[in-house]
Amino acid sequence: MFPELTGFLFPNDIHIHWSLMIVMYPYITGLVAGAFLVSSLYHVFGREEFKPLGRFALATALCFLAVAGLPLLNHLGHPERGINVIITPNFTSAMAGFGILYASYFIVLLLEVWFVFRVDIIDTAARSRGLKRWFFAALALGVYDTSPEAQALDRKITRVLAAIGIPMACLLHGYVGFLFGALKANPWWSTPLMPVIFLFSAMVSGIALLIVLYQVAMKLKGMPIERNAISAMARWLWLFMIMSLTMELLEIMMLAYERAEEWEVISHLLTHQLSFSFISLQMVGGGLIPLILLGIVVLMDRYMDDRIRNTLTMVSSLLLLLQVLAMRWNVVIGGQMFSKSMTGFRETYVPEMFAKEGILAAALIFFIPFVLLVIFEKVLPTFRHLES
Amino acid sequence: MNPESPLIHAKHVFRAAILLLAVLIAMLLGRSLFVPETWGEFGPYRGAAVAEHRDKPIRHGGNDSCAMCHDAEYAEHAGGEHASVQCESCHGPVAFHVDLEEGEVVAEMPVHRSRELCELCHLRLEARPADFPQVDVREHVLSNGGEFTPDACFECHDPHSPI
Ligand code: HEC
Ligand code: HEC
Ligand code: HEC
Ligand code: HEC
Repeated sequence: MFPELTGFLFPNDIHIHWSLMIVMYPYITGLVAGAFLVSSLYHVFGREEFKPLGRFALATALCFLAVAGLPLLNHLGHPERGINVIITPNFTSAMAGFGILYASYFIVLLLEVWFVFRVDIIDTAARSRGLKRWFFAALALGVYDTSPEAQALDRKITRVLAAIGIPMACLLHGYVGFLFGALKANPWWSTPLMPVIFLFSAMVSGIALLIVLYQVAMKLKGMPIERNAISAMARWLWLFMIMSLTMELLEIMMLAYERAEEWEVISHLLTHQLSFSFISLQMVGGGLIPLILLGIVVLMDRYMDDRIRNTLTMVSSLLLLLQVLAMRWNVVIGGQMFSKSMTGFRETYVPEMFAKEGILAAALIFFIPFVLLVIFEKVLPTFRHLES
Repeated sequence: MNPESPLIHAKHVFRAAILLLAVLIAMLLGRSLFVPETWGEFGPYRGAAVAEHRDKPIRHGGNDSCAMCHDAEYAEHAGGEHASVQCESCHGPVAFHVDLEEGEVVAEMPVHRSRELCELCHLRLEARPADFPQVDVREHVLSNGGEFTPDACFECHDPHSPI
């Protein structure tokens, strides 16, 4: 089973080492960063239109962060050695940043969730008995103080944590982009724009995910979809997708205009191997179309019926979720489709369905955060404070 | 504590802080348990690994280690086109076959009588140096009038002295 090759490839150029799992990793961390940003817009910047989503966005970020490392573990031949990057990091490698960034961001996120949900935890503890009471009492760390002063303190701390969390979310995700951007041997990756592009597309995917999840959750709970929340998210989504698309295009235009020797390979890559995933998905289907749809939502917001707005944002969000996935694919897989000597290509790469790092494994990993989210919702309802 | 003090309502914050501190200390302690003792002695790796590798038993003996028992193959090989290819590259490490201290055979030496053995080095690939002898195996066998079987190469070539 030899892949189809053209031109000259070194033996180690032939195999795609960074598989679908390495596509999923930046995709999932990106969703975390984006969801966290939305919750911070409420918790730090006090944007009231995001109030219905503040808690839900936080829970989403936590559930996705919990599985962010899973694709990497599955990719490793020896997953039990994955811990070594945390215990004995080698700081001459950018990968050493993972343990520190991931662990500290996780702690900040956990603390923020705790302070935001503390009163709910105490209420639940007070209302239940037996094992459940024990569980929630332990979660509340045994302190049942829900006085206004304590709550005011919680809010203050939440704001500080959310504020610390923003640069940390940016660092964690920017770092993932840095890993690619700093590989100077690969002209498709090596650009200082890479971390920035990763960050903006992370915001896009995170907001899009929240729009989808929020609408689905409201439908399931039979609660009204807040028009202000949707139109505000549509505005932010539009802004971030314009920035993200602009930068993705800028990078290509720079390469095209400079006409350095790497353009030979990259132009071929974009028009052949990646023609579907780059041109059709990343640029047109997931770029241009949501750009127009969201533009309509944002510009004609006042004249728009709620149902139309919800449908248009839903469709654009789903397309953008696909766009960002395509973008990760194009970066990760695209960068391995040509020879490092820039004189040959691998013609196709189709991940296997049932392989260890195949499509099924990726889908399963991607499914886990949704299960976690449902469990989270069962333990600590994220919309209950809106009902009363 | 003074009931007027604002800190009276910060009890949960202190508990959380203590818990966080405990977790951090546990992480640090845990780390010190997991870091190998000789880590970082020479660089970002386990220093003892160097000694461990040095102390591994030697498994390969080179062509001369075969000579005392297989003088015919040894002589044929030394005079042939494959003189630069080690016996053990095509067969296996001598230690798997012979206890060198006792001078006794302990196990059969593998013999890979297959086309794949030759293809390992002679299959035509873009990435091989152009001046290294390499063939399109199928085309090569057929054009020389042979039959393309799993052990085709041995019909015309002796692995020890292929030409
Ligand atoms: C101590 C003597 C001794 C040494 C040293 C020795 N061999 Fe052998 N070898 C034998 C004997 C005896 C046999 C035949 C026994 C058998 O067929 O099991 C044999 C058989 C073989 C066979 C044929 C196995 C088969 O299944 O037909 C190969 C191949 C071989 N040796 C290779 C080597 C190589 C290569 C080396 C050096 C790395 C080597 N031997 C070193 C004694 C030795
Ligand atoms: C290019 C690969 C290659 C190298 C190098 C090589 N051999 Fe072999 N050897 C073979 C193959 C293949 C066979 C089986 C040949 C056959 O069955 O016709 C074989 C057979 C043998 C046999 C069994 C003889 C027989 O006729 O059954 C011995 C003994 C042997 N080799 C020893 C050696 C020794 C000693 C050396 C180094 C001096 C050596 N070989 C180097 C590939 C190699
Ligand atoms: C471990 C690598 C290796 C394996 C396996 C190997 N060879 Fe070779 N072969 C060489 C090397 C090295 C040379 C010497 C090339 C040179 O002189 O530049 C060579 C030379 C030759 C030559 C002479 C070519 C020439 O033009 O001088 C022939 C024929 C040959 N091998 C056939 C075979 C066959 C048949 C087999 C399978 C039994 C085989 N080789 C297995 C490495 C290998
Ligand atoms: C039908 C006989 C026959 C068979 C079978 C055969 N060869 Fe050859 N091979 C030759 C002859 C004759 C030469 C020398 C003339 C030439 O270069 O074509 C040769 C030459 C070679 C050379 C040197 C080529 C060069 O460019 O210097 C290699 C390498 C080689 N053979 C490998 C193999 C391998 C590997 C196989 C098994 C797949 C194989 N041969 C099977 C007859 C054969």
